[in-house]
Amino acid sequence: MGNTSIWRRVDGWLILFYVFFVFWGWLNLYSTVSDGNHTAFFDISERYGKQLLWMGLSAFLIVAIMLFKYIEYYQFAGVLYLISIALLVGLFPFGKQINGATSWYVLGTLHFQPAAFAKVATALMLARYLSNPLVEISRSKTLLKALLITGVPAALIAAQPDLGTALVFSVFPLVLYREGMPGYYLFIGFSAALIFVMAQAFGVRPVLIGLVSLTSVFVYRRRKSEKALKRAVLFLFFAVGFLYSTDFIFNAVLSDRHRDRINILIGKVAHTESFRRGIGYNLNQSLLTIGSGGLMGKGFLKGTLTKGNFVPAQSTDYIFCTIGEEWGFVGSAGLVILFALFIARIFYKAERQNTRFSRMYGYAVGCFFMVHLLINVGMTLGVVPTIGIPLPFFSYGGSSLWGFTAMLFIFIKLDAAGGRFL
Amino acid sequence: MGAVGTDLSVCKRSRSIVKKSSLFVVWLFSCTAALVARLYYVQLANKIYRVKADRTAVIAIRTYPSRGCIYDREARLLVANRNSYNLVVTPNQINGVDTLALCRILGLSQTDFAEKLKRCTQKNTKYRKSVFKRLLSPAEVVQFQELSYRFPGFYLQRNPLRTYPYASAAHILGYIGAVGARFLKSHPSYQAGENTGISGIEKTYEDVLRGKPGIRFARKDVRNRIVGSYASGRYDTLPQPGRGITITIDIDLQRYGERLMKNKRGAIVALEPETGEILALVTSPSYDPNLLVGRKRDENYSALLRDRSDKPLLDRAITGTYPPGSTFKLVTALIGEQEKVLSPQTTHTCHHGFQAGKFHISCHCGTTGPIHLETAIAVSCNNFFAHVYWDIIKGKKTPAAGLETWCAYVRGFGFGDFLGTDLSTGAKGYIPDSHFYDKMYGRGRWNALNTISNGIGQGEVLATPIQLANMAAIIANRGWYYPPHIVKKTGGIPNENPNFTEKRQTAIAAPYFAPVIQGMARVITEGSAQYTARIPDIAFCGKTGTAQNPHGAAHSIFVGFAPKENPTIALAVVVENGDWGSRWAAPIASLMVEKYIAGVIETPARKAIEKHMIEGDVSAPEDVETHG
Repeated sequence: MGNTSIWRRVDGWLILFYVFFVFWGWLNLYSTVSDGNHTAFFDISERYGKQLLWMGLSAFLIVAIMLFKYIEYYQFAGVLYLISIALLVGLFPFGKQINGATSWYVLGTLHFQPAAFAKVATALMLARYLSNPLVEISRSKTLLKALLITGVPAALIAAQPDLGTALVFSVFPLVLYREGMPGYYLFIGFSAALIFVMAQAFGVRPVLIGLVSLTSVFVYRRRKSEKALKRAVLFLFFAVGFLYSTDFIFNAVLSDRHRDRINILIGKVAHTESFRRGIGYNLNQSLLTIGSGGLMGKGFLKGTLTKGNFVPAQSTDYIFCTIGEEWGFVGSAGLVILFALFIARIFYKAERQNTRFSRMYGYAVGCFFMVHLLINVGMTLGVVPTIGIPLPFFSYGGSSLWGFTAMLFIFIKLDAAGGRFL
Repeated sequence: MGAVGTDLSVCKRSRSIVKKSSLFVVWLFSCTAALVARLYYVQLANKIYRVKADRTAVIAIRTYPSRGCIYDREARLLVANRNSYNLVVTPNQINGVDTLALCRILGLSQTDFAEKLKRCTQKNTKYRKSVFKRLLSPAEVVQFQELSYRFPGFYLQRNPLRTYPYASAAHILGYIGAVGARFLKSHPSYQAGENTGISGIEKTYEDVLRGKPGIRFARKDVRNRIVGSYASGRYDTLPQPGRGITITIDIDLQRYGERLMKNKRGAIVALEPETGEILALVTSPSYDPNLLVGRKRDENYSALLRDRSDKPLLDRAITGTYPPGSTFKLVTALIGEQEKVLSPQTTHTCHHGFQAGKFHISCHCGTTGPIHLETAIAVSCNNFFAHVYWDIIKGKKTPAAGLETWCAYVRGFGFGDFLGTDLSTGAKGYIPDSHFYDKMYGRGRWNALNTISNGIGQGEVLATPIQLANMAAIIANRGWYYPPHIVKKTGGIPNENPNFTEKRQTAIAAPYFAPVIQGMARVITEGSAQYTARIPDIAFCGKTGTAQNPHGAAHSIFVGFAPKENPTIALAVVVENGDWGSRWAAPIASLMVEKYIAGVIETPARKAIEKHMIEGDVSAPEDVETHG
């Protein structure tokens, strides 16, 4: 099987989305960073110039990814995983602390974030582990192993501390669910998150009342089933227990920064002037910037707040603000919808894989993009707590671009190979 | 590796799997829909973010036009703009600045430098520019420019200032200053830091001179730095430069007047009778208008303000009120003629004064036997005009009615009220009416004799020098006047304010002026001012006045016009505490007239008088023995 046939079988839609996102992303970055004094597009001293370099190098990365064989991804998944664990561990002695987190290796001007790479390796590793037909996914031993595979890198990342990126690893239960993990695990996780947020937003007592009444309704409707009753009682027991520990978690486990972010989201902090200048500054500026875009936006390079650097970290985590301001509702809603279609395409392709390995990997990729999109855009719009993770292909950064490019193109490669590795 | 591909679970649980996989898409699109809904709310459903964003990132900057210049009647530049420079600094850009060299140029010590820089940073942050030093001297500017490459972060900012090439006419021109908080409240079109006219022409014609500021919209960044234009300047407006103003002043005459009034307190007002244009408006002491510009402005201003004895900021020509003294006898004569109690044939005999019962006003006219009006004016006989005034009042049923008649005439000359000038300030003077005396003596308990001093310009009558000059112009015109005014053209267009283009008629018929004018001519040729005010080849008419006042020696006053036929100049001169009319005021007036009509003072005799006037000391004992 020659390379030509591989290239012919790659999914054109995904490539098209990728190219479109990367180039639109670069235009936004140019608009965000350039101050009008530098006219050269390729200026390595500016972020857009560097990004152009990373984009060029991505082409080589893509070719390299396509040259590896399907079977080699399967074979080397473990090695890649171990390398990524080693890189994450190595951060503690060798990494450089930036903005309070030791997430980066720094070599001269080059910055490398191993977490971006760890996502891909973990996805491959988990897919490989579960693609063994002798592994029964519904068994708790399997799930524990899966938890270990995904939990170790997540814990290492959380320890940097980079809670945002660690949180992204929560996509794996979704993937496991697709592969047959019982749904109540998801239900438990989802309930816990909901109870936690609700308890902080409305206080313990209203949530308690809500829980009891919801459970009662459930029990009443399934009154014939003893099993349902048992489950309900069990649920209520743990739920209430958790409910009363939320305050402890909120105050003892989370740091001020995280508490602020949650408080902002649930509206516990009044939107006063001091709020806008203090902890809510990012969100306020971000909303102003996006909101001022209106329907059609102010036009490329014409964003007044973008040009004035009013949004902190706009070229990285808050790049969506540029789209909102300069391309308006049409551009930003368009981007969200296009991104959703792109992810849907990944799910669609993943579903049609004839091996569990590539299917699982595909679902992981789709879920990663989905979580990044929702959290990043949701954060800039104030519907998700401020969690600093990049918008794939749009946010500035070589590690991020390469990580997502590798993630996507490994899937494209697996898909194109179509199980004909034998 | 065959085991990998054989994935049995897919087949076994395909139904639930299909449901699960569609569940992913449902999650995906419901979350997407939520984001789009939120975007709709933020971007389309309300405008608050758009408004706030503009407030955050767009700044409207005023661009100021150059202020209009002021010219005299011969188009000589009196007030111009000159550029000066402020040294401005952006503290975060001064890396590598040659502090030593800069300190040397500015004459600062290193610690002063650091202190100033710190204050700039505290005031405007280190990212924004602050004024480091205001109004550099020309030497500082030149030295800075030579070495400017050594001073990154420092640069010069233009700061236009007023300049007065003639260093004259300070009160007329006025000065400008930064607007204050109270001014800003009542004038919303101004902004802090702007200048406005505070006195003189600068104040009255502020709207013309100021022009219209333009507005430039600029984008600013998070540190309040300007980063570029907004919407490519689509909404910007250009400033409209202020228009020039040509004033009626003859700056040569004005300066000559100022020279003559040196070391004296008082005023000269010269008018062109035919038009009411003010040719000269001298007040003394005055000051160099350039003092109120630039770095030492505040210092100089408070020095002027503190000078309580000279009051150099007081414009005596328009706000000083003096008893007109004998110059007022002209008005009395004209009213008498109009009221038919006086004719050229009327005679009164002066017995060293006016006597009515026990009431006495002394007189030093030195005449014996009956005299006519012309002579009475020439020698300034108190007795004659007291009789005329008495006759005027006696001609009516009651003293009150008589006084009201007299008042109406006097007011017709522009006394007792602002003249409707276009000057920034003024004074009404005072013409007492019957109510005044009712209050003073009680109703019906006073008669003509109580008010008789008015007839000879003493008593309660007060007038400003410009009112006296206007009186002279009325006599020169034989009965009418245009209110004195100072603006000839604004922006090249002649002043067509109806106030100054519609003749104001007095109630005195033209023929009655002839004997008065004849008398005024004789004042110069053979009367009270014959030794000091006679001008070769120019028919000068005038009247001296010696105004007794409570502030020391009598004021020396003179009103006059020339030439006798088709007069081109009418004027009034007041020299405070100048003893008597012919001592200072009359010769100064004659020199002004000669200067204006002939251009130069030529004959040795006149030159001697000129020298005496310029160098003379008001308080010195007098050598000329003529009283007014």
